[in-house]
Amino acid sequence: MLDPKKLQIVARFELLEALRSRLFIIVLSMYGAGAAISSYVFVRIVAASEVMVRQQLAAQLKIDEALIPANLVREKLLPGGLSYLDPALKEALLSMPLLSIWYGLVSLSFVALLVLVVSTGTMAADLSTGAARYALFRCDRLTWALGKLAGQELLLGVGLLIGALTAGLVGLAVDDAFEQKTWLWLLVASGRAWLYGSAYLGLFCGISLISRSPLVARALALFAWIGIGILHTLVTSETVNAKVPLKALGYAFPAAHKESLWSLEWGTALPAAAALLAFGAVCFAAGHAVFKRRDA
Amino acid sequence: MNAVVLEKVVKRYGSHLALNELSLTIPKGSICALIGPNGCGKTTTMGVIAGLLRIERGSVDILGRGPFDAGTHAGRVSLMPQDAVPSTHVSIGDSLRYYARLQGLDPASAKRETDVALEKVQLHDRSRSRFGQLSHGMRRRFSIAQALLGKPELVLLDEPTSGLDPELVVQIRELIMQQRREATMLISSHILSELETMCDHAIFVERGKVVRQGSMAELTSTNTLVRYTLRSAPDLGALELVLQGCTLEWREPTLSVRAPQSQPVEKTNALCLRALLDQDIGILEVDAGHSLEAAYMELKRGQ
Repeated sequence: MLDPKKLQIVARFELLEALRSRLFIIVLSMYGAGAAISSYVFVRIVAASEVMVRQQLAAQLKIDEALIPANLVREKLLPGGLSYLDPALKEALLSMPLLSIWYGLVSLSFVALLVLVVSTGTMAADLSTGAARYALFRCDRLTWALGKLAGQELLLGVGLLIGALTAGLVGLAVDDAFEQKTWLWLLVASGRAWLYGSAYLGLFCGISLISRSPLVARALALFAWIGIGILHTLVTSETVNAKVPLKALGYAFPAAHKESLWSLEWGTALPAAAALLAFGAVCFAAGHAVFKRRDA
Repeated sequence: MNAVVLEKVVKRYGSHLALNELSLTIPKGSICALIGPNGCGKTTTMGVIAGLLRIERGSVDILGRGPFDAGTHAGRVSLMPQDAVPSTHVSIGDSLRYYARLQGLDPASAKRETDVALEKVQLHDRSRSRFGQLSHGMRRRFSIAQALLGKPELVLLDEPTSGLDPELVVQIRELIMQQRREATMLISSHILSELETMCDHAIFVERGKVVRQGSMAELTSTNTLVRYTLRSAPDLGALELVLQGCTLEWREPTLSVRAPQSQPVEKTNALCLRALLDQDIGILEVDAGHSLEAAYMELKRGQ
């Protein structure tokens, strides 16, 4: 029987334990440094490109550089003018500060890897060292497992926020055009990455629950990650031309909802968020179904 | 009233049968010894009682409330696992507070109980150390401390004194004796003399089955073992004439004399000492009264 109070105790201890682990500190430092360096390079490139685009447009339109609308410059700056995107999504992206788009892309690209390295081994490690045995005669397995998952969700949030903070500070220091609203958009980008990462966290923690060692858990998680990536590409690829029911299966995978997460329309973003959380929950539940029948 | 009742419990690890229709009862309020060779199923039995291991068949009743269920038994049952390593990233004080909170104690009580438990095992000055920074003996003491948190009604101690120095063994033994009135205890150990002094019940396990169980008085009523460490080999023929009804065994430098319970240990000792002195054998040490060990050896011989 799930005990919410004990779940909270397990989650808090999990977070405390992870924050003091060497692995988390190393990975977080690398992630933070990556976010800082890439943001610096990005801001510099954008600044140089903006000047160039503005000059070109001014020459083309035969008007003063200062009179060229910022949106037009940005549209030219973004890859292919974003013409391949849904018009609403294109509009949404154009309204966001470029640094937050950049951090959003970076965090969405690396969040699964971050989860794989930091969180996948946690439950398997507790089961292999026997640490779980100290807890499992004090609370039920579902409470313990969900508490650990909740702790890892919090940890993921901490990691992403630190990344966003680093990117924002770099922007503030080197970007002359840095706007205060960028902080809010960086927060939104972190939330987006957190949702996307949660799908993988559910999958990887489900795997961790049924593995007897953290190494095995990470290896299985890596295979699963690559596997669902390949499967998603296969069922959604135009070249493969999969049948409709198979194509529909593609919506079950996290990658299918990555783009919708960027939307500023609730009708698009919410179903995507729900689908990602459901994917994580189903995978975790499957792992727990095996775990609850096994020896601890 | 029994604290634990296991009936025909079957537990397998793959094809290995760890518990073979094991049945046992542990009376409430007793300190019960779980005795048997390595791999006989002692640790598995404890894991089953604590709900960590899933059984294939049989029934389990803990504290009269059915098989282990965290909702019912959390805080009432505690276990000192044999080789489990707790979190290595936080201090042992933090770990104990976490376990106490999981047992249902509020933050203030959890802190108080942690301090009491650390004091009991003399680790109060190491509460900020991490588990990895502790010596082997300290780790065992930490493990005992977490098992004594709160007011458990049933405490399962898997080899609590293994690897401890003699002084600590005495301290842990005293600690266990102090808990006598507060909880039912199940203790597994290979040191039978230690179990004999601490426990009032014993269960002998062999190949996943209970071969004998009962009160210490019942189990030790058939035999008493006296050991003599001698400077040289005695004349066993002459000793047998004097110690009629006793079984003698000489393994240099130890002479083991197993006497029937009908013969008081003092009489056996007096007869044997006189005979050894008559033979002019140097007696280096006399170790009397190992009835549990004698009972166990008798059981092994009979199999």
